[in-house]
Amino acid sequence: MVISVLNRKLIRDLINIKAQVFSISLIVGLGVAVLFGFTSTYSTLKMSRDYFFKEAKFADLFIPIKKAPLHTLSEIRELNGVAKAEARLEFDALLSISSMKEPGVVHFVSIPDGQMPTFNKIFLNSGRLPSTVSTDEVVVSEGFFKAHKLQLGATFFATLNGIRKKFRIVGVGVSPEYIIALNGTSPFPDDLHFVVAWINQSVLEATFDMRASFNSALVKIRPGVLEEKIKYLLDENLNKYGSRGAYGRDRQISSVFINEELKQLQVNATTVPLIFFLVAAFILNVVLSRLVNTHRGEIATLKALGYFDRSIFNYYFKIGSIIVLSGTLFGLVMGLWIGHSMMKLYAEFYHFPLLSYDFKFSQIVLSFLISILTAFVGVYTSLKNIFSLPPAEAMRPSAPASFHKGMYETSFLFNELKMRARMTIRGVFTFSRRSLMTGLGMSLAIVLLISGLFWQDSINHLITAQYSFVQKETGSIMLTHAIRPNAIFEVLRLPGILEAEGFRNLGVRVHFQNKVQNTTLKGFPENSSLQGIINEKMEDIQLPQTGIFVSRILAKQLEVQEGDIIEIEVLERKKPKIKLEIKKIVDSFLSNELFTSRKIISDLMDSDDLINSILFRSIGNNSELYTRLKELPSVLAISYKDSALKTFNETSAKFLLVFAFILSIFAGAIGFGVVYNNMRVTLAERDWELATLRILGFTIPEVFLTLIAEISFIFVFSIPIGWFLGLLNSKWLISKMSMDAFQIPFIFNPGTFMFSTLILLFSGVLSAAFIFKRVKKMDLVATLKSRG
Amino acid sequence: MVKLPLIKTVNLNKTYQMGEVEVPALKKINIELFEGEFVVLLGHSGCGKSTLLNILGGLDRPTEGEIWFDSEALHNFSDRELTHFRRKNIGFIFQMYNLIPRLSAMENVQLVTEISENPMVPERALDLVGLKSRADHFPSQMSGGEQQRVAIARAIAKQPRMLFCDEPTGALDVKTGILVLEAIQKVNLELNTTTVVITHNAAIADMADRVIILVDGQVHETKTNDIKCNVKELKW
Repeated sequence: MVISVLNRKLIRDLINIKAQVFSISLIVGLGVAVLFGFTSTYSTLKMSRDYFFKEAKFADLFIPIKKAPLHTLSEIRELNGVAKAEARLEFDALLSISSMKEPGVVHFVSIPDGQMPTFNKIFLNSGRLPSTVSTDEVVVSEGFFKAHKLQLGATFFATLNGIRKKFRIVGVGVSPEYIIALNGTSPFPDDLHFVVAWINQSVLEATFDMRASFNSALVKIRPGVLEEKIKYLLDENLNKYGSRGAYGRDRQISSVFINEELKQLQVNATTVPLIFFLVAAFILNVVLSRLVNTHRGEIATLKALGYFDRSIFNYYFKIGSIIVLSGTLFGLVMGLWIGHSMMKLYAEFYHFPLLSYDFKFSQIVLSFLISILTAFVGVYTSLKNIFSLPPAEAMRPSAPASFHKGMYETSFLFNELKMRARMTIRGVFTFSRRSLMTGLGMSLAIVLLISGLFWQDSINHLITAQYSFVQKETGSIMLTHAIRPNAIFEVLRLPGILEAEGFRNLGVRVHFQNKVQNTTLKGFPENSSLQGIINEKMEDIQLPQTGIFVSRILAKQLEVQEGDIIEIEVLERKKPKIKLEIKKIVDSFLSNELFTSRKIISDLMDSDDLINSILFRSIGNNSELYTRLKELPSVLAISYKDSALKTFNETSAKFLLVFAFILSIFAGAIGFGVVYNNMRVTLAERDWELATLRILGFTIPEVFLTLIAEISFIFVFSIPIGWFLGLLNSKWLISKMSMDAFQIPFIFNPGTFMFSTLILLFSGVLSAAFIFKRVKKMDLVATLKSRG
Repeated sequence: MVKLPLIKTVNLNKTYQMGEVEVPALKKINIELFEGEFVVLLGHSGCGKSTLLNILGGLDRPTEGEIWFDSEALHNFSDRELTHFRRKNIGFIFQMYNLIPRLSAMENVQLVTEISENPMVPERALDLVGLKSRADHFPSQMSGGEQQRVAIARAIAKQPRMLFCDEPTGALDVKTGILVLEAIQKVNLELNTTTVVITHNAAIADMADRVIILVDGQVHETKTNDIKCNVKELKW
C-alpha cells in the first residue's frame, strides 16, 4: 500500500506532537468513558426497572389500612378510574435466625394461598411458592437469603402476635416493591436484619385475627386517570377503616430509591462528559492553532498550488479525528469497565430479576458522534483565520502579537512590579481568550472533584447529626400495641440496659391550607435524653409545652413557617383532630415528622399516657439481651442503630474510595491536559523570547519561572472560580436530588476544596516538570537561528 | 608595558555534527581582543563569524581549544557559570533585534538593569541611543531602526565589558543602518566598551580599530586601521 505524501506528513505531524496527542486523547477518552459508562448503566438499570415493574404488575397505588372488611375491596374496584384492586395482609414481626445473634425484622406479606398475587408478583429465583395447605412455608427476599448464605429448607423463627413460630424457606424471590431492603425505620438498606417473607394469606388471617379482612390494598389505575383523584376517592372511602392514606409510586420507598438513582445517573451522564468534551475541544484548538501557525507557510503554499480550503481542512480534521477517535476507543473500553463495575455495585443494593450489564449500539454511535463534533469544533476554530488570508500574506510569518498598556497598568501597584511580572500580566490579558479558557479548564477540574466529593461530606454530616445528636440510643423496640409506660421498667431490668425511654408514635394526616401530608407524630417523654431535637447548628432544642415542632422536610412539603397553625388528624381509633401552632422548624434530615410531647398526644387521644416504642441504651456484649428481647411478647420489631450504620459505613467507605480515586484521576487528567498543553504551546510560541532572556544572562530557573508565571497566575485565579462553580454545581445537584424521604444538606468541607486544589496543583507540578526539562535542553543558538 | 588582552582564544576549533557528517565551522582560531577596542569581524556568509561571536559571548562552547577572559578559562565554565558571565560582562545585539514584544522600550532596558550589578540609569541608556522620547513605546509600535537602537540601549545598560553585535544593520536600510552604527560607535567611545561587530559589509570595516577577516572558519587576515572613519564618512 502506498501512503500518500500528505498522509506521511500527517503521521510525522502526529509523532511530533505525541505528548499532546496523548493528553487530548486521554481527556476525550475519559469523557467517552463517563458518557458511555453512565448512559449504558442508566439504560440497563432503567430497562431492568421498567421490565420488572411491567412484568411483575407493580401497583400504581398503595393503601395501608388498620383493618377493612373484604367486601370493601369490591367498593374500591367500583371506583371510577380504578382498573383493578387487590387486598392483602402485611405484618412486621420479630425475626430470630441461627445465623445471627441479634433479632431482626421480618415483614410478612400475604399471597393468595399457594398462588402468585395479581400485583407486585414475586420473581422466584429458586424454589417455589408455599403450597396451598402449608402454614409454615415462606418465600423470602433474595438479599436476606444471600446475606445469610442460606439454603432452601432453612428455617427461622418469628414472633407473631406474641407467639413464636418456626417458618421454612421454600423459595427465594424478588419483588418490585422490595428492590431495596428498607424497613422504614432506618434510611439505610440492611439485607442482614430485614427480610420480606411471602406467606399464605390464611396463615396471617388466622394469626392476626383478620379473617375476611385486609390491612393493605394495591390498586391499578386506568390509563389517563389522574392519580390524585383516585387517591382522594380511596381516602374518602377507606378513612372509616383506618386508612393511613393512599400513596403512589412517588412515595413507595423502593421506587423512590431506584428513580433517584436513575435521575442521578442521568445528571452525571450529561454534565460530567460535557466538562471533558469542552476541555478537549479547547485543548485541541490550542494545540492545532499552534500547529497550524507553524504550518502557515505550508498551508499558503498548498493554497497557492491550487488546493481548496476543504482539502486543507480535511488534513487537519484528520489529525483532530485521529486524536479523538483513539481517545474514543480507549473511552469505550473504559466505559465498559465503568458500566460493569457500577452494575456490580448496584447489584449489592438493588435486587432485580435482570441486572446484567448491557449497552446499546446507539450509545457507541453517540460517543463517536460527540467525539467527532469535538474534533470539528477544535479544528474549525483553529483554521478559520488562516482560510481568510490570501496565500501571499499567509506565506509570511504571522505578525507578532501587538502589546499595549492596559487599563490595569495605571495602578501604582503595576509600576512597582518587576519586568518579568509585567510580561506575565500583559501576556495573560493580551491572550485573554486563551487565558480565560485555560482558567476555565482548570476550574472545571476543581468543579468535577467538588461535585463528586461533596456528597460524602453531606452524608457524613447527616449521619453525624442523625446518629450523634438526634438518635442517641443503641436500639429501638417497636411494640405490638400502645401500652402503659411502666413497661419501660421491664426493659430496664434486661441485662446491659443503661437507659430506656418510651415514646408514642401516631400515624397522622396534616392539613395546611389546601395541602395534605401523611406523616408520623412523635410523642416524646419529658426531658428525653435518648432522642434529640436539633437546629441547624446541631444544638439541642427543648420540646414545647404547647404546640408542635415540624421537621424541615415536612415544612417544605407543606410550605409552612414557624407560627403557622396546622390541623392534625390522627389516623387511629376515633380519628381525633387538633389544631396546633408550629413552634419551631427543626433539622431532622431523615424524616418528615412532627414532634411533640407524649402529654399532648394523650390529651389529643383522650387516653392515658401510653407508649408504643421504647428506645434504649445498652453496653457490653448484648448476646443475652438479644435472647431476652426475642422472648418478650409485646415486641413487634427491634432495630439497632449500629448495625445499620456499620453496613452503611462499610459500603459507603468502599464507594467513596473508588469514587474519589476515579474522580482524582479524571480531574488530574484534565488539569494535566490543560496545564501541559498550555505550557507546551506557550513554550513553542515564546521560545525565541525565552532564548533572548537566557542570552541576556537570565538563568534557567529564572527563564522557567517566567514561562510558568503566566499559567500560575491563571491557576491562582482559577481556584476560587473553581470553588465557586463547584459550590453552585453541588447545590444544583442537591436540588436535583432532593427526595421526599430525606433531606441532604449542603456541607462546606474545606478539606474537599483543598483536596481538589491539591489534585490540580499536582497535575500542574507534573506538567511543569516535563516543561522544565525542555527549557533546560533549549538550544539558544538554534532557537535564535530559527527566527533569524 | 605589555597590554593584556581582555579576551583571548587559543587554537579554537568548532565542529558541528550534522547527522553523520562533521562540519568544521572554526579551525584553530587564535585572536586577542583588548579593552576599549572596536573590532569588525568580516567575512562571507557561512565563514564562521557568528559561531565565533557566540563562543566569545558564552552562548556556545568550542569543540577544542581554549578561551580566556581576564585570566578565567571560559572553556571550562559550566552552563550556570556561562550564564553569570553573560549576565555580568556581555551585551548582545542581533540582526533581528530580539526585543521582548510584551515590554516597552524602557522596560526592555529595565529588564537588564534589574539583574545587573552596576547598571546605568535606564533613561540614560535610551538617551545615549537617542530614544528617550520613545521610552513608552512597545516594539510593535517602533520602526526597525528604533527597535535596534533599543536593543543597543538594552545591551549597554548593564555597562558590559564587551558588546557583541551580530549583523546589527543586516535588516535595515542604509539611512537607518547609519543611525544604528553611530549609536554603537558612540557607546564604544563614551563607555570604552570593547565592541565586536560582525558583518559581511566591507564598508563597515573602516570604522574599526582592527578588522579580522574570516574565510572558511579560519583567520585569513588581521588589519589595523591607522585612522578610524566616522560612520558618516563610510562609503556604502
